[in-house]
Amino acid sequence: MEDFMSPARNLKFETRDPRPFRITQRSILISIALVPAAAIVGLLLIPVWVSIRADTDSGAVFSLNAYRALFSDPFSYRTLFNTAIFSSVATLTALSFGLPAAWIVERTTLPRKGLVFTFMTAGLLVPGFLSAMGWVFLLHPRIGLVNAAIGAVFPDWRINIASPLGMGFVQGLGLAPLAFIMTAATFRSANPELEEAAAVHGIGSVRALLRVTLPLAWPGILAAAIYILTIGLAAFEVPAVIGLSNRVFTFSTYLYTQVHPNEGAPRYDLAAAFGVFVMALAGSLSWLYFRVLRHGHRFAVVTGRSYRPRQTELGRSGVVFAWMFLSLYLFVGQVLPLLTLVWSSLLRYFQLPSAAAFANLSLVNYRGLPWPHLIDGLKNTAFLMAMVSTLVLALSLAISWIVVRSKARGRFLLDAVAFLPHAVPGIIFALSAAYVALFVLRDWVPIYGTVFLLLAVYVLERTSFGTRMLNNALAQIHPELEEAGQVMGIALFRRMARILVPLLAPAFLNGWLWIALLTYRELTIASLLVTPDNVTLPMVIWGLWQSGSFTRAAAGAAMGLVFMLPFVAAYWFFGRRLAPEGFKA
Amino acid sequence: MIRVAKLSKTYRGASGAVHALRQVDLEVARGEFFVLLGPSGSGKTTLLRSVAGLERPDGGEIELGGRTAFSAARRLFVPAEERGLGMVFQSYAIWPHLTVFENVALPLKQGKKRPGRERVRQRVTEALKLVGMEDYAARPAPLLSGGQQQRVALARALAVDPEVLLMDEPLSNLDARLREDVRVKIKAVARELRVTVLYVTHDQVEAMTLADRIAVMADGRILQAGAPDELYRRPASPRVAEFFGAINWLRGEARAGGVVETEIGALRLAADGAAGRVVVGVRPEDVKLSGACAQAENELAGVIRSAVFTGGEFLYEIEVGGKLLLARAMSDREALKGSVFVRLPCDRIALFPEGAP
Repeated sequence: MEDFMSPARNLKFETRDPRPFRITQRSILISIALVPAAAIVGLLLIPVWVSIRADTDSGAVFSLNAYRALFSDPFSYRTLFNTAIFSSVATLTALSFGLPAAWIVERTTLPRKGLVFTFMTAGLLVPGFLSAMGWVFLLHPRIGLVNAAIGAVFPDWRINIASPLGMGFVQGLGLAPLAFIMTAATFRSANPELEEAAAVHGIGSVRALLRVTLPLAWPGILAAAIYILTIGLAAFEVPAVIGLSNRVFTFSTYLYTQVHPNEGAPRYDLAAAFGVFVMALAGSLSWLYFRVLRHGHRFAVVTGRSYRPRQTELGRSGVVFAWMFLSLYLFVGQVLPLLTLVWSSLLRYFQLPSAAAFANLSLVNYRGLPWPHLIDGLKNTAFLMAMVSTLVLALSLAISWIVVRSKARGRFLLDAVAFLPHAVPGIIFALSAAYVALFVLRDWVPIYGTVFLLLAVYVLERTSFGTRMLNNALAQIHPELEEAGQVMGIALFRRMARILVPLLAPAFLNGWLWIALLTYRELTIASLLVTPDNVTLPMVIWGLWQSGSFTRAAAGAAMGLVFMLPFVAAYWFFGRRLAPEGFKA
Repeated sequence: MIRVAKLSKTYRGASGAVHALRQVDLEVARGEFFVLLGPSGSGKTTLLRSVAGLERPDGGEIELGGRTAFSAARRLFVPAEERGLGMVFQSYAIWPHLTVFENVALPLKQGKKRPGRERVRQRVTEALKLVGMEDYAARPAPLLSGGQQQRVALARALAVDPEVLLMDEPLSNLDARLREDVRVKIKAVARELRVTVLYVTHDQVEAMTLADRIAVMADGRILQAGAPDELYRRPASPRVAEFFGAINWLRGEARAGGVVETEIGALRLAADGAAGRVVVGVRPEDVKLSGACAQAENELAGVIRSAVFTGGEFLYEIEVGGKLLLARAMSDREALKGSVFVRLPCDRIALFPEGAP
């Protein structure tokens, strides 16, 4: 007890006068956070700069030639029109599966619906370009399984998947899980008292659904629609797999062909001009998204209070019908294309399932895979998965801490900048990064064609996801838990290591798995930045596909699915409770 | 030990500026138990957090143990982690991923001084003993009750051996009975260790029982500071008076010789010197009741309108001269009924000029 009674106590801080630049742990943290923020802003300004300059004999001059060329070419308008059809159809398809599924899971008494949630979230992880390949095998005008079946009955009828409509449908099936998760959140947070009021006043359940539930959820649904539309606008994988070989272009594939043309020199200026135009479009949509969300709060439906939403009683036939609907989506939207892909990988040439076809199954496509190339891709992809996830979480912790915890001036601007990669199509980031690496950094930092260029751009792109997730996770942790450590003498980095990181461990684990899986399937950015020296697994598969050896590409894709299994298993055991807020396909 | 001078802090939000602290001066002596009392939004928590270093004020100065911890003029701000304080939070802020022992040990192991392992163990054990939690050292924090968490928080704050202990509404999340137990514990420990305590609460009973001195705060200002009985007996303003419980207010006109002509009749006051329009206040427990007339000073006839039995006492509403007065009386006798005589002792009547805050 003498210890406490001792006269030697603790008030012995120095009262040094301030120097203008004192290096504190806080200022180090802010510097760390500013690096990705500056890089993001830089990468977004590059297309603007590239699009308004022209090289002449006497050096670069200001010029609007790129915009003039872009908007005088009918091909640009056709691409825009295709993109509009494609993204609208994708949004409609995604909502028409995702919205009813969300309502069923959140607002009915369907048994075992936790399973639906798991499958739907897992659906987000199915690589879009693999499903797209499967759909080509199903609905290709000449070789498609379904078209063959239709042709047997109606000789003149074909479903053409290689159209903006068809591609939009495929993209929409892939985005349905996102629509599900976003609208489920809306249904979950709706105040049940408003519906109970309707019930008490004798309004039947179907009319209550149409007159009360849906109008209340409307802002959330609209916000989800805008969000999905923005993603559709930027989507690359489905148009690249289905459209490119059939010369049906949307925005992202247009950009790709301008930079990687079949003939002639790359047109960075045209790509940049189109990029700036779409950036403005995507920016407006994001602004609209936030406006709708804020408007939604005016109804005071979405509150922080945890309600137990009113659940509609499903009868026996209702349960059967609901499960039929959900299974139909899961089978057609997720399982069937992948099954078709595996089936195709076992055939020498594509044919319908039949006794003869089964007799002909072989592993010849697997033996014919360019294995050294594939292993190189796998190694790079594994390296990227580990590094991207770790770096994104580290940078996101720095940014989110400043945004959520510090009172630093400009922290909301920092948050907005970290969010930008979310709003801007990934292919534009890739375009800027390729330009910078090739024409600006070339002589000082020879980063083009290395895996580190991919690492840098992947990290910047995913930091938006990481900060959304950690912003939420940090807000759940009472600030006094940190302040207690602070007042009692624990410095910032030690507080982070000993208090914050352990408390955030579940979020970190979930986030790490998600980012790793998103990195595994990443094709968009890679398409512009990969060379033979830094190839990734998805690029190897896509390369096989582009070269026209479809069944061999299917074998590569099947191998891709196999490599993914351990991570899907890990996600199944640890990560599935994470609602991937801030997800971007 | 703590000196605060001209401290000001303004929060600027979307709905305009909020003046949390307006030129606050405060001095707390070594070993003193000092309570900041006020309603929510009065600035008491902002003041405490400014002393802790968790808020950075806009103007003024803070000194701790004679050293400047904050000075707006010198642009000096010693961060919280360097001030060497102990603090107990409203939410307790017990780290849920650690055991009781680890919670108390973490600031020692990760703080500035970092004594050796054996020394840490000894300090943690002493601190836990002090709050009667030594048997729970190995228990994971999430398995503690509210009262136990509260005691661990106190042990953790004391283990760093602070000269100044800050407490932010530490009892507000406990139920009434537990609150009394912990209150007694806090007072005993603070006295034993002779630690200087700055304590924030909105509960005047808590303030009165714990404090050596109290500062009553409202709207970012200190209305009055002093010993509990001083604030209770001689409030500087009606607002302070109301803070320490119900009070009967009467309007009146001061006359010469310490007499006030009130709405229920003339009252003689112990205090003299007021003039013009005034208000006088008498606490319900100071209103004396009797069934018979005693021919005493300030005695008025009244009629009992209601009597409520509250356990130890009766709470009466008495109509006197057309006005209802509240009175408290011991319940050892039967409740009074009908006509009574009300006496207002002249030394228990507070006097303020009309319009005082």
